[in-house]
Amino acid sequence: MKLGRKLAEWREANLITAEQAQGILAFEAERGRRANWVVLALGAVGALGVVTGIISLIAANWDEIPPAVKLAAALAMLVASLAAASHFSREGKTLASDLFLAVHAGLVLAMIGLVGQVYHLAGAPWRALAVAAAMAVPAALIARHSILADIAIGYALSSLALFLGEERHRPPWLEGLGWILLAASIGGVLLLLADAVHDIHPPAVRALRRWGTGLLLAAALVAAVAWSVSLAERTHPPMMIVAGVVTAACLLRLLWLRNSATALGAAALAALIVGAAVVGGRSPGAWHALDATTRFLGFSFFCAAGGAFAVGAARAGSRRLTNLFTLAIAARIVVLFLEVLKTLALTGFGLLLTGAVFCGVAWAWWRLHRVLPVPEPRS
Amino acid sequence: MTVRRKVIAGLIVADLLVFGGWISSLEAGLRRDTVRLPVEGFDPRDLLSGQYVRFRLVAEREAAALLPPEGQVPRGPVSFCAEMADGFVHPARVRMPGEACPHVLTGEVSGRFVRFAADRFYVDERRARDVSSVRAGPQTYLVATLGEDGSVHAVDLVVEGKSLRRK
Repeated sequence: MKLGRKLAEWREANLITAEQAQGILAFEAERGRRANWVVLALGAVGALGVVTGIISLIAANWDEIPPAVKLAAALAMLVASLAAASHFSREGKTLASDLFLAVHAGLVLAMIGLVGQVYHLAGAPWRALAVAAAMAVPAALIARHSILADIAIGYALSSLALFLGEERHRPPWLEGLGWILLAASIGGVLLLLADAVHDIHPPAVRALRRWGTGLLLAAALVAAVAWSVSLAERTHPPMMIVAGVVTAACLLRLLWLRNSATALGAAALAALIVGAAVVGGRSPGAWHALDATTRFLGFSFFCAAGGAFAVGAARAGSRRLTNLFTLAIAARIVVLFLEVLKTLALTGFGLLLTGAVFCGVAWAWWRLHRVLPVPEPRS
Repeated sequence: MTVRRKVIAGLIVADLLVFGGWISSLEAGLRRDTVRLPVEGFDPRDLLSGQYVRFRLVAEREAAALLPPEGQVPRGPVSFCAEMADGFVHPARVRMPGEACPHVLTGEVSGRFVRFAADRFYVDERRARDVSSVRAGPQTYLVATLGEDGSVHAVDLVVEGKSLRRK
């Protein structure tokens, strides 16, 4: 007999109260959910084993399978993934539908690889990724989750990187830190694009922000290193101009939004990245450490950018980003000591001094504002 | 039907058109008469790309020698008139626009190099060790069909008289 029916009978017989019946139902439902997780976990491990086993068996006999069967099966899987996405979409299960669209995006790349294997093609990998990116865009536009936009952006950027990486396509303006300036410029454009599509397609906004921020952080890390060593190649002006234009657009947007702290951070970040290209390429052809003043200037730009972004994140209510930027500054300080101070004793003394200064700044903040810099997240 | 389901239906059509059309054109290319192109040694295999024997066509070196002097070398695709000699096809001269040739080979030119987009042949991993490197010789050649545009479609790779084509 079902628990609900039993409880109803006990309730009618005045053995339990209505509140007790509700309590028992809630308790059993919670226990059922916990049990479901165990069943799901065991099921997932089992399914993974079965799928891996099937893949291994197919791989072991790959040469025995006629090419026509391989191609037909791959094409059928492509169509089936889209049919499943359509089926779940009709039932209103958007997560399942989006997952099948993501599977389709992966299968497109696998299909291109399979055709290449069957017909012994020797095409450049960037072409395959460009086709996969083009086919992932429509799915990203209709998706309710950001994963499809992530896939489309990932394919497109990988294709661009491989295309520019090919010797015959590599333009001279990518020499030196041109790559980093290009990555930072694309990062800035993606962030501007995220603002532009905010009201049109919210799932894409998260992906655009992730990729934009990731590219800018990667560029900042490389630029931080470039302030300390001389580069082998000089960076050409065209990429510096492009990066400058993107920076100006980002600054104007941030000032328009009256986000002064983030605008200050963006200006410092631009100075860090473009400055690294100018400073690092002053004496090309030789790898050597730059003078202490230049290094300290690079360190200052890094800390200024990190500090401004931390304040911006705190004002926006993001504890995670505030912590991330604060940690980045702390890590840079440790690296500076390792760069400048040659002995462990001096490094230890320097770190003690910096730690004391940081504690003093935190105490002063606390005395002035009586609150932690991060407000509660907005509802 | 919602916009979302219409887009998914459009993707199904795109899949069938793109991959169906691509496979059909590759199959059409393989139905032409085959020729033999001599090959020379190169890297044996690349595990990231699957099990394939990697080689370099002798025709690439011969075509590079036919290119005009430095400064006049065009970038991008260049066609060569090819002729049969000792049972193999060899580039003979750069093809003039509209020139009729017994065979045409078209390759991408980069600097002083020519690439004919045929540099690998996929084989079963169990046979990969038998052909771990390709050595030049009269019994080592690529069997291929040549498209009207001069594209090379690999059909079989024969290494020291042994065919690597899947049975």
